[in-house]
Amino acid sequence: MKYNHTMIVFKKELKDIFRDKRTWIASVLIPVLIFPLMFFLMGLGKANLDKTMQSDIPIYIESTQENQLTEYLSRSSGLIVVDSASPYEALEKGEIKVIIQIDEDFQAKLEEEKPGGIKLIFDEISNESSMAMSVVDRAIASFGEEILKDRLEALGINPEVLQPTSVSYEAYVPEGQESKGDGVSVMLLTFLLPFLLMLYPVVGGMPAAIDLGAGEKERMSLEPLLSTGANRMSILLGKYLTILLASIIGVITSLSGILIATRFNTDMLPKGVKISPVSMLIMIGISLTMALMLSGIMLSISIFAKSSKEAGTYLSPITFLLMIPTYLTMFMDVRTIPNKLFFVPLLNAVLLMKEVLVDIINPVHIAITFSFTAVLVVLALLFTKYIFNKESAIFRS
Amino acid sequence: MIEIKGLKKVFKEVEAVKGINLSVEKKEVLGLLGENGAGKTTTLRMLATMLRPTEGTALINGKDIVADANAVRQEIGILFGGEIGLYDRLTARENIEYFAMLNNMEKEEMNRRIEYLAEILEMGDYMDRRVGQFSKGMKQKVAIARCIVHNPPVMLFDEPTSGLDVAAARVVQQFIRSCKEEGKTIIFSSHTMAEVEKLCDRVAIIHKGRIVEAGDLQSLKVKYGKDVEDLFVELVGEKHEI
Repeated sequence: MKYNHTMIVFKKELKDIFRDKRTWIASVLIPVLIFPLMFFLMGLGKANLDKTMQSDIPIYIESTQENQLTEYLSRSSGLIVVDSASPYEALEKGEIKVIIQIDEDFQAKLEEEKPGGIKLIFDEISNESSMAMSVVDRAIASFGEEILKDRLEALGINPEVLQPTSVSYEAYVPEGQESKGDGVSVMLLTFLLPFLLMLYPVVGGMPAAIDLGAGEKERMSLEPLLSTGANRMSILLGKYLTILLASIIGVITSLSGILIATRFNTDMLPKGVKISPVSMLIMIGISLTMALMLSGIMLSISIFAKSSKEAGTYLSPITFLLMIPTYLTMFMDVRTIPNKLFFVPLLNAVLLMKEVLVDIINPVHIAITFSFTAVLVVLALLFTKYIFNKESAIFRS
Repeated sequence: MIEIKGLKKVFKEVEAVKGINLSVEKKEVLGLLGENGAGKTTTLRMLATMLRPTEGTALINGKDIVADANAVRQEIGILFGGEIGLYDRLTARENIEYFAMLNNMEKEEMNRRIEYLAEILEMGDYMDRRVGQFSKGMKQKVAIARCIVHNPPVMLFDEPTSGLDVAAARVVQQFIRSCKEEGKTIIFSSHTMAEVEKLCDRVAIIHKGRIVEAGDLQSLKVKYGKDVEDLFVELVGEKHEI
């Protein structure tokens, strides 16, 4: 009989929240669209930048005397020397990317075989200017190398004499594993995915939680509901399951959003990243326990609140609370996480996700994280039950 | 029938109901008359098992509100005043069905009952429309149908006409009268004398958590030699004011 009532409440609440536009917007539309949109816009900006960098970079050379460098730079591909009456204004406007100040005695020093002074002036606010500066820097370096080579040859020295080492780089990939791609994409992935899996249970479940607790109070339907033949716990369980489902839908839709986004814009996410089935299982497990816990907490807070507005005010800080561990761990090295950090609730969930994403399967970390989270889930549920049985919370006015 | 035995409710420091003894016979309509804050709503909430009594108990058709709360809830229907408390995104029928199912009605019986209620309350035209756009009177009818759908033998009304316009209030009063005709046991709380005089057999005057007088309207009039309104003012007004 109890089970029956739970199902009746669950079905009714589902019907009710999915007739609500807010549910569709928060649980489905936003999560599905936000990433494709974000990636699309970021990609647009990046494409623009790439395009600018691919065309010749306008530079201005400030020098009073003729010198070899000016001549070298005018011949360099990728750079174009332009003339300007007011070069600094042009730099500020972005018409010129870099100004090269060549010392008056540059050519003289070059001939004397002493270092000649060059100053590169760029606009620190402009990304394009910063990137252009490194291009110019490289061009000047290769000019220097050419001079160096000539001088060594004049002395009858093989340039290789001055290069005692030759370094190459290779990331270590343990046997049976695949490369995770470059460092930046690993960081992006190990930040973004835990971030979503922590946050979306709340984003997806919150409108439902507000409506099913405080909303019921606000429209004065709680009293009639509590006076029906249904037991209070079955009503609570039905409501809890509805919020849980909305949370899970939020997570699923946001992940689908990322999948869609990577189809649109393959540059933004590491290509060919494979998450092993074990890692996938652990991540789903963590996200599910988060949803189990947060659904309970959101429902209790919502039941305590007098109105939807009040519930919204109490609930929104949860989002920020969950962001803290994801930002805190952003620059943490996954290889050397101290064991004790896995005893910190929420932080351990994020850390574990980061580990399994790079295929570090540490049974101790998994055991600690899951047992601690399980305790939190139980506490959250007991708290929800306590609040729902507390007359001063239900009839708070 | 309803037997209230030493019912008491304390909220933190406030003693809202201070030990009430009262009984309502089967098919009787009792008016619970009192000012705002006298303890009417708290008493009715305890009878509806929404609040747990601090002391004492009550029997509703022989079932104990403390020991057997689930069974008690199947015996009662409540209509509380103020806002009507419907789900705007559900249709009238869905609103009523929800409560019917939570009161353990079989599907067939439920459908028959809803058809019947839709007919007598003249709701046929809008049973399958969402209640969000309904007028107050239409919503009131849905709320009435919802509280009576499981045909409970006992009805509790807490200021059911407060905040309603004249037409909607008439719908409610008509409904209470029909409950009376069907032989239901009714407790009806109000702070308007006229309503109590119109609908009730017997009246209990509650003041600061205590019953200060109870009896049928006629004998009270004879006993005190004045009408109920003056009596009420006398009992809760000067005499008991500190």
